[in-house]
Amino acid sequence: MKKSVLMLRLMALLFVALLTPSVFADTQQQIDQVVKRLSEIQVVHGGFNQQKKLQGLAYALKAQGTFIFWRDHGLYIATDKPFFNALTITGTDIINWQQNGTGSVAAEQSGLIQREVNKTLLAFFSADIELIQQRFIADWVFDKNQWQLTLTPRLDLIKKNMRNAVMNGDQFLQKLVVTAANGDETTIEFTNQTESAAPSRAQCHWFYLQPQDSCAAFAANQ
Amino acid sequence: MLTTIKIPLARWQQLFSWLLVLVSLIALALCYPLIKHGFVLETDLQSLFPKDSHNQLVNSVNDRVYRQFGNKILVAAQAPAKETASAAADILSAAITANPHLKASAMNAQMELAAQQHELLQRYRYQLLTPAQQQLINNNPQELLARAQAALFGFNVGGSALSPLQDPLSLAPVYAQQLQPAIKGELINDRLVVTTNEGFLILFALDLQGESFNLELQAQMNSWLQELRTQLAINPHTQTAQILVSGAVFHAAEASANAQREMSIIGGGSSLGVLLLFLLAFRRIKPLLLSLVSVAYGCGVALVINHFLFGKIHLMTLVFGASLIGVAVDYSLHYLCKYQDLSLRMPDLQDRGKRVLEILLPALSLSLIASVLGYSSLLPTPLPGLQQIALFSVIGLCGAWLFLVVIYPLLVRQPLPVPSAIIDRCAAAAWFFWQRMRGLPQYFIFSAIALVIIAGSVVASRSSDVRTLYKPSAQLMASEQRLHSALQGVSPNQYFLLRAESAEELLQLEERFRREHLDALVNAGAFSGYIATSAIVPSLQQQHANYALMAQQLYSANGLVDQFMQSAGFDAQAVAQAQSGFVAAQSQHLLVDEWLQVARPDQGLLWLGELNGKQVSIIGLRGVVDVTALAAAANNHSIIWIDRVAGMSQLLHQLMNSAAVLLLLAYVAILPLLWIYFRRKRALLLILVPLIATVTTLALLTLSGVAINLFHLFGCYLILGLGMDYGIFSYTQGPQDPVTQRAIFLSAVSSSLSFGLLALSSTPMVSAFGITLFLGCCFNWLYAPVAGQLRTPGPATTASTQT
Repeated sequence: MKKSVLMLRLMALLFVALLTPSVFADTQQQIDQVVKRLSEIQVVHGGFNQQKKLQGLAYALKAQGTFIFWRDHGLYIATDKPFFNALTITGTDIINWQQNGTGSVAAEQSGLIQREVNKTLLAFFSADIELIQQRFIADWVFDKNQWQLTLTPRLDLIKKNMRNAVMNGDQFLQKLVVTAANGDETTIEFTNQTESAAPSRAQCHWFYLQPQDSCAAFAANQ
Repeated sequence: MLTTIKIPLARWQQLFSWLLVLVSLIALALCYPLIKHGFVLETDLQSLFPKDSHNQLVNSVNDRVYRQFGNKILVAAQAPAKETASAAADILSAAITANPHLKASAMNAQMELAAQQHELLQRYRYQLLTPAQQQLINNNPQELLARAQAALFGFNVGGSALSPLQDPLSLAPVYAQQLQPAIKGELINDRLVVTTNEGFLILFALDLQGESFNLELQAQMNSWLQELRTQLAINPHTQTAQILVSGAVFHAAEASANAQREMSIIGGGSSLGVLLLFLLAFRRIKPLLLSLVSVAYGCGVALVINHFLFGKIHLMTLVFGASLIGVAVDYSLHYLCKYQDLSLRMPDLQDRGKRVLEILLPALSLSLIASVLGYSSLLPTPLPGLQQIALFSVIGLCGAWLFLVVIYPLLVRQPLPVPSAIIDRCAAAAWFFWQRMRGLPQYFIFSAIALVIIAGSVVASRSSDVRTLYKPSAQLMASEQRLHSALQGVSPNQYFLLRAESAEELLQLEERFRREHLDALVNAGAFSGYIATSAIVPSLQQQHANYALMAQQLYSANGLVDQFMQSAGFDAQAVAQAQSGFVAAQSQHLLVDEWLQVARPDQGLLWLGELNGKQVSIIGLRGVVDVTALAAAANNHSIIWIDRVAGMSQLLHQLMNSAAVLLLLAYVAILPLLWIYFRRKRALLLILVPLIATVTTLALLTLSGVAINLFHLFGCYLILGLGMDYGIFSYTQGPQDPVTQRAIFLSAVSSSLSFGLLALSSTPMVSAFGITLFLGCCFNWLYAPVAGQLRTPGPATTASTQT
């Protein structure tokens, strides 16, 4: 009896030992594929629906709007409902846009820490896995062509604001759920996403305060 | 007149012997505390200047800044491309890890500290408002409402530490934004990367494990830096990268490396020259050794006594004091030349040393008294630096003189051989020149000298630039400037110092000053920004005002919080919860002590706490442009403008004025001495030898475009000492005395070699001292024969030869 149990255990160990590298290899391959796919995206635009579940509020706060992500240039987000609010997060600044289209750099949001927060956000969209893994403990789950990435902050500074973030996607990032340190939960679903190799001239405008020269080379419409 | 002084030499010698024994015993006794407590060498230039209550406070602050930042080092890898900078940073990082004297500050630890700061400010959020938030609440509450709604409904993936129930209008994050360092950079792999006009800069903040002024450590850091630069240069991936450094240790290392290089080149050169000169003149090594020993004895006694009296010795005292004692070599030369002469003229004379003293003691004594009078004129000055130098040189000179009159007759007993012919020919040149120029040509020469002096005085300019004290290399300066501009740090040399009776009064004073002056000056472009403790921790008065403003405008019934929460759909219970949180916090106040527990070192340094019975703080400034406007904002009582560079320059200016006035006084003080000694009006003109040598030197310097500084003036004191010596000997020994000519020539050449080569130094103050002495020694030698011409046949002649 003892011998058989021992034998079983040895076989189980052998099985695990043989299987584990291949499982890890598979996961790494899938991660690489996702990262590769997301890294190919130069420009993506679409809509988003945001839902916030706040402590002390019986119902969820809903908002919707549009976004444009342009690799190496930033992320433009315009909330249309229930209030207008538009901003562009670039690598260095945050540009706040008025409804009449005039923009200004938010001086109050230009510090080093704010830039690091912005960079982290841009890393989610640009699949900068190196930076993400530097700042978060990453946990991947794959289901066919669907993937889920759960991020738990490593740094105290981020932990004070964020408990974790869960990203879901396929060809694009489809859903982002952020649980704040105080328990508030924000869910953002991205809709009608369209990919392009370069932005249109109109899209480009949202990434520059003085876009005349920088955007002249892009097509008027796409 | 010399004839009136009857010298019973044996008695005097006995007295001087006892005096030498006494001085040596005192010096030996004072060596004990020096050995027991250790030798303290002061290098802080501020300590040379007077300490009043104002400066004491500034000194305390500077001490604290030094303690805090003295061992902080910044090292950066800079390259035009990010990849190159990154590769260079990898090599730099490995070199830092391998260096046991360097410890890197962990970026994660800094981020955690920032998190603690945010947490603290959130806890006291009901008492804290930025000036912009106060303005918005008072003038444009609807804008605040709109911003809060945008924050609540807007795209937000950053999370939040406080829920809308705890901070409905999202005021706390905006307040905490003030804590963010104003650096245009980003963190890549936990390294701070700053983009500059020259490319990318990757910074490492380090702590030096050891004392910045430790010479061994400096040498190690120097070779570490050189190795690192070589490593980057030979690596094909990092050839375009540069290493930038900033920190006291690099300045100290550069200064000591320069000093060592100059010591070996200049010191070696001058030693070789003087050795050659003594060999040509005396054909023996012993005279040179004796001269050096007499100066060394003087310096040793002066060092021990000064250290005992002041508790330490300043580096400047050692450098300039030891130079001033150098006049003592002149006494040796007169003694040795006379001894040599007697060796030739009276080879059978038994007690030659005694005979030399019989002839020279009056002139040697007069020369000593003149120099002591000259140097001691610096004693009554209120400047401790000059006092120390004066005392050091007076004691040293007396010690060297005593050594000569007591020890030389005992040690120099063998006849000295005849000097090389070239020495006598050169020595007689100046005398020969004036002999040939007698009559009209002499007047032409005097007129030409007068013209040079007048022209020099017309274009004369003075400089009190602090850079004469220390001037780092262009590479180190550029490195410091690039790092400073990349980090946008506050200036360590220009800031406001504020003081008040209590911490609360001090915070209120800061707030008033910021509101009434600094904010306007920032808007006017006088400087780009400031950091102050009160910007983070408002006074209790301001915290009460902030709370009252929130109570009235935000948390009142139907106030902005009510409106916002209702518009967002929060129920009555949630609104009540938000209100109760605010009410419960009424008695809370953020205090400075609590803030200091989580403050970064640079933030903590702004609050100095109690100093000299007052609460003291600093307001640090960034991007200073208009110094005059900033200085005008201070009231010099509770708010003091500190400009350390300008302050040092001003102190140097004061020191220079004092040194100039005292130099004139020294000349005036020597006149009665000459009168008492010679009782002849013409003898008073002896003063003209050093005086005209000095003004000709200064005139030539100014005509060459040199602005006269304190160290040129220090050189003038030595010109006075040497010039009086030449004048007195030339006058007393007569215009045709080859021994005097030889002694003066040897003195002038050895002084020019010893001090003149200092003119080649890269340190401006040493160079100024050197060039002054070089020219001064040449002119002293040139004018000395004229002193001989002042002498008319009479008692002085007989005195010199018969005494």
